[in-house]
Amino acid sequence: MAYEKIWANDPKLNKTELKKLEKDGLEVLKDIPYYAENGFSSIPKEEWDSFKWAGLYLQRPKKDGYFMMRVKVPTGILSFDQLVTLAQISKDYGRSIFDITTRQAIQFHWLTIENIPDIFHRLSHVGLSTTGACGDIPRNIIGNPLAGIDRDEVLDTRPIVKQVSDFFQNNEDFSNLPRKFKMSINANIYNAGNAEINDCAFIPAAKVIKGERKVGFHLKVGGGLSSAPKLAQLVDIFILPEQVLEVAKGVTTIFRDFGYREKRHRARLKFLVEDWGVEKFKDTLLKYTGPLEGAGEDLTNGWNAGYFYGVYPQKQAGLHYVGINIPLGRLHADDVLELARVAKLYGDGEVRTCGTQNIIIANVPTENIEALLNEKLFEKYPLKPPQFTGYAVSCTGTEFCNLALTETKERMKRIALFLDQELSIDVPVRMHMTGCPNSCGQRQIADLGLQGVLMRNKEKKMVQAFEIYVGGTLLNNGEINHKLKGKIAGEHLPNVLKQFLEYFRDTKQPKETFYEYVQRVGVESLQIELDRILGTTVTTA
Amino acid sequence: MNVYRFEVTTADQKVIPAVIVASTDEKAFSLVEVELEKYYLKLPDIENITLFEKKKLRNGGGFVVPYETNSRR
Repeated sequence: MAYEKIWANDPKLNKTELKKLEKDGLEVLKDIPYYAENGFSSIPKEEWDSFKWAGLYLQRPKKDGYFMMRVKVPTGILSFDQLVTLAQISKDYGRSIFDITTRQAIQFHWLTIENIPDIFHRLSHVGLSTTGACGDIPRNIIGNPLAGIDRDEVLDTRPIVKQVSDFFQNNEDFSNLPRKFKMSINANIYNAGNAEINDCAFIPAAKVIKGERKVGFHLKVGGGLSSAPKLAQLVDIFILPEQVLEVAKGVTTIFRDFGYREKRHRARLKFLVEDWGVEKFKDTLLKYTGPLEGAGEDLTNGWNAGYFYGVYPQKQAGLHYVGINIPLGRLHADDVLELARVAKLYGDGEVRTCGTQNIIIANVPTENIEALLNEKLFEKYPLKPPQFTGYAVSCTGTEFCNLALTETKERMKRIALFLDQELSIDVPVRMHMTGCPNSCGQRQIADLGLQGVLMRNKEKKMVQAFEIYVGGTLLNNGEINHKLKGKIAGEHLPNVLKQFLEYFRDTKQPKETFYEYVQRVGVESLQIELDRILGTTVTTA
Repeated sequence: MNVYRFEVTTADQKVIPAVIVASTDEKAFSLVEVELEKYYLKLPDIENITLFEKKKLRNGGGFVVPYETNSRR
C-alpha cells in the first residue's frame, strides 16, 4: 500500500467500506482463475460484489451464475482488431449480444465464470480491459468520440485520455474510492463529453499566459444524475494539457481521502462538492497540484448531445467520418463483424462509440465514400435515421429491470416509429423514456422526458402510464427538465405525444429547438396545451 | 418484499400519499385500498391510485414523500 487510508479508523464506516479495508476490490482479479477452474458454486456469496472491480456484475437472478461484463473504451475509440475481438467474444460466449453503453463502453451478457479467463486473455491481447469498468474506482474515461479527427476540437485529447486512463488502470492507490468516479475529458466545442453529468470533467478553454494564447481546459466537478440529479460546477482554474493528469490525480485524491464513506447513498463526489462549495474545493485541489492559473475563456459553444449522423470531413484533408444509428445501442455479433469488415475495407478499420449508443466509422477517404454508402449494412443501421427514432433513448424497463414499473425499450421504439410516420419537425426532439425515477434513461436531460408510473383507475383496471418532463439540456451549464402535471396511459401516449409535438411544430419559430422553445414560451403554456389535449383524450382507459 | 410509494387522487383532485410494503405490485395496490378504508370513516371518491416508485426491501428502506405533489390526474 503506497498511501495511508486516513479514513480507516472512522467508526462510522459502512459495511462495504469495512470489507474494502479487509480486501481491496482489485484482489478479485487474483481469485478469478481459481473460481473459473472450480465453477460458480466455488464463489462465496459475500464475494459476488467484489466482481464489479473486474467489470463483472451477476445478472438477475444472481443464483443462476450468469455475468454481465463491461469493457472500457476510453473516449470511445476502437481499432479493427479490438472490434473483431469484441464481436468474437460476444459470439462465442455472450449469445451474440453486443451493447454500447451511454458511457461509450461495450457490454456483454450471459457469460459464465468458466469463460472469463479466456475473455480476459483475448481482451488483453488487443489492449482492452474490464478492470475499473464497475466498482468504487475511476470508471471508463469518456470524451469526444471524434478525438483526433474532429474539425470542432481545440486540441487532440487522445494522448491525454490515454495518459490518464493508463495511470488509473489497475492502480491500487485509487482502487478504493468512496463510490464510482466518472471522468470526462473533451476538447470538442459542442460539449461532446456531457461534462455536467460527470464527477470530474475537463472542458475546452483558452487563456493568454505571458502574452501567449494557450489552449487547455477548465474543470467542472460534482455532477451526476441518479435519483438526486446535480449538474457539475465550474472550478476557477485553467489547466494546460500537460497538467491534466496532475489535476485528475488531485481531484481523485480529494474524493478518496475526503469523500463520504458513512452512507453509500451519499458518497458520490457531488455531496462533498455541495458541502464544501467550489471555492474550498479549489483551495484543497491547489494543495495537491501546486499553483494553477485562474479560469480563462470558455471555448464551449453549444451542445451536440453526442449525435454525429451522416458523412463529414475530418480535420485530416481527404478523410471523412461516417456516423450511423444503432437503435437502442444493441448490435448482433454478426453485424459487428460486418461493421468491422466495412470499416476496414473503406477506412482503416477504426470505429468510435458514442454516448448516444451510436457508432462512427473513422478515416474513410473521399474516393471510398460512395461505395461505402452502398453497403447493405446501412439499410439496418442508417446514416440518416428517421427523426424520432434517431433521437430516442430508453432504459431497459421491465424486460430486465426489477425496479422498473413500465415496459420502455420496445414502447419507445414503437412510439418513435409512429411519430416518424405521422409528423415531421424542422429540428430533432430528444425523447428519453425511463421506467422508474432513477436515471438509467437519462430522463433529466431530455427535451421530452417520459417517466413511467403504474396506475389503477376507478374501474380497478391497472394501466402503465407516463408523466411528461420538458426542457432538459446540457447547454449553458445545463438544466434538469420540468415536470408537467398529468398522467397519460401508455396506450394513449403515442397520440398525446403526437398532438403535443404538433402544437410545438405549429407554434415554434423556424429552426427553434425544443429547449429554446420551452425557454421562450415557458413551461406553463405547455401545461395549458397538455391540459387541453388530455381534456379531449380519454387517458386512463 | 418491496416498499412502494403511491399517490391516491380523489375525484376533487386531492392527492393522498401512501407508502406500502408488499411482495407483489398487485398486493401493494390492494393494500392501498385497505389502508384507505382503515384511515377514512367515509371513503373519498377515488379517481386513481398511482404507483410512482418501488424499492427492494433488504435491510429496510423507505421514501421521502414530496410535501407538495404536482399530480392532478
